[in-house]
Amino acid sequence: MNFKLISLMAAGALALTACGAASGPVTSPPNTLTAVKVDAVSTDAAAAMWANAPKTSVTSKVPDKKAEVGATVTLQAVYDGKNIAIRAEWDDKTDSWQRNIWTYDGTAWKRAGEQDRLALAFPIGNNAEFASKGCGVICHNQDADEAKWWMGTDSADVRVDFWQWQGASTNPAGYADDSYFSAKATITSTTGRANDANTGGGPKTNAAADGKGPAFMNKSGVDAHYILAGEEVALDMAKVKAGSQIPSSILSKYAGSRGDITAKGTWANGKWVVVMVRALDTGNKDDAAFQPPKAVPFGLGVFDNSGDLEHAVSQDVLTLAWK
Amino acid sequence: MSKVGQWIDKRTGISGPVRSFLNYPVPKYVHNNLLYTLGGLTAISFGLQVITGIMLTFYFDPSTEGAYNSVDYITYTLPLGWLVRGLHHYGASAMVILVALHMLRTYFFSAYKKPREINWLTGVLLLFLTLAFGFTGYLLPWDQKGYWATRVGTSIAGSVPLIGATIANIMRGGAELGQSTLTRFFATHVMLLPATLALLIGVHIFQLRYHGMAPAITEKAKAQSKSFVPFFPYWVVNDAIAGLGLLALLVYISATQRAPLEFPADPTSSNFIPRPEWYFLFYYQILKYFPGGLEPVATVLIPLFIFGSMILLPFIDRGEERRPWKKPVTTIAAIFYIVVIIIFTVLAG
Repeated sequence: MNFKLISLMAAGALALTACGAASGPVTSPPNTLTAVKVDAVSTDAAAAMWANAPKTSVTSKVPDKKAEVGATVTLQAVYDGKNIAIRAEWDDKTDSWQRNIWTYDGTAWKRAGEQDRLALAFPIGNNAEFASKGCGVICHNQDADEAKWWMGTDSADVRVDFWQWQGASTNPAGYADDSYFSAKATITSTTGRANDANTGGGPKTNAAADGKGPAFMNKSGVDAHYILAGEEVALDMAKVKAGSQIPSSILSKYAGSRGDITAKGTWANGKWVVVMVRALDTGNKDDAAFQPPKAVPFGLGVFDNSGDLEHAVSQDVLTLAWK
Repeated sequence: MSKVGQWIDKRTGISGPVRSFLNYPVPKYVHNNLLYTLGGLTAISFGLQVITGIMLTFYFDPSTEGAYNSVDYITYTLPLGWLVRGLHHYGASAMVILVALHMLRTYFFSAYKKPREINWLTGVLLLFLTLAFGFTGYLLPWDQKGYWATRVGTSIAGSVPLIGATIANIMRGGAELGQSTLTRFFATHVMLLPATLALLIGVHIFQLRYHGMAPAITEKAKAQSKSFVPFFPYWVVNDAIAGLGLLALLVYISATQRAPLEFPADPTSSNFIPRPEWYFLFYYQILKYFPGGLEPVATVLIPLFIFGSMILLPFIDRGEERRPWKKPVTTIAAIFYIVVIIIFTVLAG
């Protein structure tokens, strides 16, 4: 009898092991981004680590114009013992690198231009409303009247981590801006968004003392797409001609919590491919901590050559799961 | 016996009943048949639920504000919390399966027949108490799945004619699901049900010992019915091996498939599709076939029929025949129910 029992259990264990060993390609349910475990993550969008990470397509819509559709963003995610990397890919005809750029018209400088962005929002701690209704509960309500818009949460205890990759302002410096949503001052105020703490770094305005033109140019010359800290040299008007463009910021990555997210984006052939990498748990209170295999709800926003207001967002609650 | 043992025995007289319990003669046909470990395994799984349940209670916060975060903490932060919760979660399913298999064994071996009617009745009650454990435990994490399944469950109770509203109010502790509901479900889950279940298991085992094992049904088993082995160590070893196997299986499942925790309950959510635990799926599917005015058929008549037929079984089937292949009516009826439950479960899944 005991032999029979042991044999039966051994057979059961073998069957279970066989089931566990028979692992095929990982698939994701709809609206679920499944992060796959890899040895080490990086910001390399072409790395082999993405081969087994399932792709999740997220359609986006403009919040106050529901019929207007934004880009469809294809997401992938991988993680190692310490970091998560999220890869996003979407069609965009232009790379919109000229955000707020100085342009010389032959007599004076003028500033104009917007940029492309990709934003991800994760609740900090458990948030029932965010999990069931999505990132719309913290901002961009559906009202067409912008005066009625609000941004933020109802309580200081309810906070949402907000990652914003910006094609011109943060991408050249290799990071995504890390901020968070917290309590808004009034029901219709837009004061509920704050930047994570930083201990230095970040973009510096490139403007002359009178504010009427740039103070610096890239040492490689005018018309450089960006100026990183250390690349700036005093503006040489001899090299400037009508139509010359000079970035209005000198870029560097933030030190401290605001610079937690390393990012690398590349635009080519009408498509952005962006990879964001962050520690699973930064230890900072203004960041969402990821605890695989705990699933996390999240939202996505995509901005096409726009400022803060014009953007499209995921309409359904997205889930970050782990394999 | 040691001096300490003698000291205790002189004051309690415990050695006699213990010896009697351990030396109980078990027929060899029972000891040699795997199916007879199902009862012991069910008791072991209940013991596992009690132990893991007590451990969980040390960290569980039975409030609508704190329940989810405490289960989250147990599952993802507390060292080995995932294992304890996993054992409790998957152990609950194991207990339902084991109770059902144990009852099927009893049914097909006609062990419910005279004079073992009381044992069958306590078994039926134990089955429903086990399901009640599942229903009340489902809500405790206060996640979307538990909240909405309970909302549906209490609404079903509320649809019972005449007394439905009262039943639903008693279950919820008010008109809506809230703190009162969680408190009631928690108290029922950790106090009322365990106490009742333990009492009934006691009665069940006492009845088993009082009447002995039901007669053998096969010729081979009958040939062994005059040979006995003592309960200890023979049957105890069987149950211990089976119990360790069950534990290993539950540890394996807990380690490879973390016990689920949905997103926190949002009572204002409008798009969550409620789904019960797998062992209620067949009933969930049946409910779909009886909309509107027909609802009482599914909420009252069908449960009453199932419960009633199980209760009345030993009083209806009173013949001497115990072999299932010679009792086509009861055998086909059981197979029919099993097939229906499987089909409806698959359809609901």
